[in-house]
Parts: sequence; C-alpha cells; structure tokens
Amino acid sequence: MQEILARKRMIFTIRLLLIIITAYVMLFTPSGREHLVLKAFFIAFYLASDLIVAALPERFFSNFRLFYLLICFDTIVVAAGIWLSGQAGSDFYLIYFLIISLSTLSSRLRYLMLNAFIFAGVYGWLLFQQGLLSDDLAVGYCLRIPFIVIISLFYGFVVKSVRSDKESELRRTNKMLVETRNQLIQKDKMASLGRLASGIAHEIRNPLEIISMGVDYLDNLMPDGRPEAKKAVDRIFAAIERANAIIEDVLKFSRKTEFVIEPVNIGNLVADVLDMAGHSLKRADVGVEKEFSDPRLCAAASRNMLSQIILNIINNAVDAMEKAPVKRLKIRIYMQKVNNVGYKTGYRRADYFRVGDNMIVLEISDTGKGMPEDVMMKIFEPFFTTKQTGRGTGLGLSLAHMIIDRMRGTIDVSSQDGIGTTFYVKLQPAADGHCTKEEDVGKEKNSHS
Amino acid sequence: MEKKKILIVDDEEDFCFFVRENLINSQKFEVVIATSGKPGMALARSEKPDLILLDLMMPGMGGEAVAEALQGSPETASIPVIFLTALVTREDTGTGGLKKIGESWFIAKPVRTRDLISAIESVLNG
Ligand SMILES: Nc1ncnc2c1ncn2[C@@H]1O[C@H](COP(=O)(O)OP(=O)(O)OP(=O)(O)O)[C@@H](O)[C@H]1O
Ligand SMILES: [Mg+2]
Repeated sequence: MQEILARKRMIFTIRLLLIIITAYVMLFTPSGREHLVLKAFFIAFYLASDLIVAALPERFFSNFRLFYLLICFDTIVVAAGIWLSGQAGSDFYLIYFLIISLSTLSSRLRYLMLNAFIFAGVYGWLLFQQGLLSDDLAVGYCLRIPFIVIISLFYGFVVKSVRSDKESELRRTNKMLVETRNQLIQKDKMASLGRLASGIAHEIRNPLEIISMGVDYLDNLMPDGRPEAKKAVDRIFAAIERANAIIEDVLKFSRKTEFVIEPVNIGNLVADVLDMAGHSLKRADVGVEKEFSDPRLCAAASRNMLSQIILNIINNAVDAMEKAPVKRLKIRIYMQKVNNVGYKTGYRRADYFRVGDNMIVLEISDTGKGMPEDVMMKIFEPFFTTKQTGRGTGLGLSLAHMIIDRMRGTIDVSSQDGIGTTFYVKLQPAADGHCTKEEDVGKEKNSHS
Repeated sequence: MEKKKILIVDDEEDFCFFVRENLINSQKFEVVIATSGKPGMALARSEKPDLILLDLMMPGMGGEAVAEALQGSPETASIPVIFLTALVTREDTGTGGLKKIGESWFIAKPVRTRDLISAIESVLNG
C-alpha cells in the first residue's frame, strides 16, 4: 500500500512539473501571444487532469493497464502542447523524456515501446506539418525521431533488467528463508533429541532395572538343575542389554562433557577405524580402496566421536553391499576450497563454511544397493531405519549429524538407487589443515579406541 | 560374618521389592526400604544402615537433596551412599557399573544383582 501511495505522489508531481514547464514555454517564449485562449484552456485542462489523478483512489495505480493508459494520454497531451506552443523545432520535445521517466514505475517493455512509437509518430507528423522536414536542417530534425525511440527503449530496458534482478533476488531470498526454516525445525529436533535423551534414559532404564532385578529374583526361586530355565534367563538379559545399548548410544552422543575438539590426523583415524572394522569387512568380502591425497591432513574434531561416526558409515556401507555383485568401499580424503555453500540432504546449510575457506572432506563410497530419494530424505532422522528389528536402531546417522554439527562440519549424502552411495563428511581444518608430528597420532598410539 | 544393613530409597516399589529379595537371598544383607526421600531420611536415622542405595531421580525430594540432608546431620553423615542413576553409561562406569565421581559413588541402571552386590561390598570395604 505504501508503495502505491508513493507511486501516486510521483505521478502527480512529475505531471505537475510537465504542466509548469509546458505553461512556461507556451506563455513566455517569443510566440507566447498566439492562441492565448487555446493555451489557457489547454493548461487548465491539463491541470484539471492532474487534480483528477490526485483524487483517484489508490487502487487505480496498482493496475498497470490504467497506468499505461495515463501515460499514453500524457504523451498525446504533451504532443498537443508542443504543437500549441509552436516549439516543435526547439529542444522542447525533450519534455517527452519526463513521461518516459514516469514509466520507470512499471517495467512492461512492450507498452513502453508502443508509447515511444506513438510519440515518435505524432512528433514526426508535427515536424512534417510545420515544414521542418524539408528545410536545411531536416537531417537534424529527422534524427530526433529514432533518437526518441532508442533512448526510450534503452531506458525501459535498463529499468526492466534492474527490476528483474531484484525480483530474482527476492525469489532467492525467499527460497533461502524456506531452507533456513527447515533447518531450524531440524535443529530443534536435534536439540530436543538431546533433551529427550535423559528423559528416555530415565523412563526406559527404570523398567529395565525392574525386569533385570525381577529376573534375578525368579532365577533364585527356580530349583537348580533346570538348564532351559537358565538359558531363558540369559536370553532375557540379552534383550535387556539390547535395549540398554540404545540408551547408552543416545546418552553417549548427547553429552557435551565427553566432547573435546582437537587436531585429528584424519588419515590415521580412518586407518584405525578400518582396522576395527577389518574383521567384518573381510567376512563380508568387501574390498577397500584408499585415496588419501596427503597423509598429514588434520581436522578439528572429536577423535572418539568421529571414529564412531566413520565406523557407522562403514557398517552401513557393508550392510548395503550385502547382496551386491561388486563389493567395494572407497575412501577419499582431501582438502577443498569451499565454492558454494549449498546443501543437499543434510539439513543444515553449510553456514560453518564460507566461500573461500578450506575444508577437509572425507568421502566414503560404496557399491551397495543405494537408496531412493524418499529414503535419502529421512536417513538423518532419529530412529529412521530400513533394517530389520534387532539389526538397526536408526540412530547412527542422526547422531552423526548432530555431532558433526557440533564440530562445525557438515554431512551430506548422494545416492543412486541400485548403484551405490557416497557420504561426504566435511570438517574444519585444524590450523592450516596439516598435523604437526606430535598431533600425528593414530595407528600405533591410538589403536585401542 | 555379621550381616550388613542396607537402606534402599527408590520411588519404584517393584524395584525395591526385587532388590530386597535378591540381597536377602545372598545371605549377606539385611534390607530396609523407603519409596521416597522423606521416609528414607527417617529410616536412615532410626535404622542406622551401613550403606544407602539412593535413586537420583525421584519425584519430590530427589536423591541429591536426600544425600545432602544426610550429610548435614551428624548421625547420618558417615553412612556411605551409592547413587542409582539412569544417566551414566557403561563407558563412564566401566563394566562393573560402579564409579566414584568426586566423593560420591554412582552405579548405572540397569544393574544385575551380582554386580550390585560386588559394588556394595567394594564400597563397604573402603
Ligand atoms: N551406504 C548406504 N547405502 C544404502 N542405504 C543406507 C546407507 N547408509 C545408510 N543407509 C540407510 O539409512 C538408514 C539409517 O542409517 P543409520 O545408520 O542412521 O541407522 P541404521 O544403520 O539403520 O541403525 P544403527 O543405529 O544401528 O546404525 C539405514 O537403515 C539405511 O536404510
Ligand atoms: Mg548404521
């Protein structure tokens, strides 16, 4: 509404300016005495039209057709003014550009073009009618006509492109807002996961504790020499342990206290994790291919957390390749300059990285079953899993996401259904991204973790 | 060997019942139970237990407040306390489930009877 009011004021003011200039030229130039009545009538008429404009309700000014009608009207009136003032040959025609400037208020190039042609036509006719096109200066006058058209179009074009830039920027901003909102929702989910963690732990562990003590109680009541009963007890404890393991996971990951960010030699860490996973990799017959661009690449990360995360990604990959004809795990580590801060499936736009910053990228690809888009959208959600009960809790990746977030890094995924999956873990480099000798631990020193 | 007296303060009645039965079954302990903080403190004063198993998260007066109050009174200040909590992990406590943090002992729920007994014994024996 504010904008329309401003537009109305601008139209009114520019037209007033037009009227004053036209009146001045009509009355105070050498030919001022002729057609006095007609001129007075013209000025009064034009002034009245401007007052009508001022009185029109604002909604008229939001309609671009009416707006161009007004401009057309002004064009004709100005041409009439030029004719009346007898100044067709002078530079008075430049007043038309005031009208063109009015058209900045809208950006329809087609209407502007039409308008420019109308004026050029009328003005050409005026020149012709006053015999100006046949005297010595005809060339100069003739050139005025294309000049009018070209300047008008150029002007219109500039205005339009500025506007459409603005519009696309607006669209971009809007899209970003939507994305940010989604991230916020996600972040909130993550935060409540942390809060939930202690709640869940309490609510589930108390009954687990009762079951556990209760089974011991029953066990004591049981007469000796019933091996199947002993076996049943063990099974119950295994189930309790399984439930408890979930709580352990949630708690482990959701606590700040264990979280120390330090320089981590990422190559050594991955090698450690591959050692840990060695057995299951061998059993699943998965070949491992390593491509470490620099053995000293150093990320700012939490060592234990990061190895948990990598282990989970590798385990997921092994699971995904269970039935694949080719089973190959490829791990790449490299440093990369950030060149765009878009994000794919991870929920957070990578606002931890700015364009031009370095980041350390750990890429883990498999040749497994991949996943369709709808699965990919959900894998970072807590408790989302496609695995059978007992095989996955669906916490691995959601915790990874939360933790990497805390390390000011990002995790992304790309996947092709039936072909394979790649996870990208992007981390902050420690210092210049290279570990010193002392920070180069891993392999020997850290193989217990 | 003389039986030790254990006071259990936990809002889960079933838990209290089973733990009492299991501890008594081991022939090593006498057990009294309270299912909230205030009666727990009264029992601590009247029964003079050798050790208190105290649930950290209870409605009303929580375990921490109970322990503080016990500390503040000379009759009960010397009774060792083991907090039962759902909020520590195996990683914090190690496999035995018992952990000393500062001056306090913690044990992670869920715990099996045999682990609980060895925890109690190790605290009692210093
Ligand atoms: N490399 C992969 N290829 C195909 N699907 C995958 C891959 N990695 C993850 N997924 C999908 O993402 C889901 C979630 O993985 P996530 O690690 O969070 O949980 P999970 O492995 O099911 O359980 P757990 O908590 O035990 O790790 C998986 O169930 C699987 O559907
Ligand atoms: Mg997993």
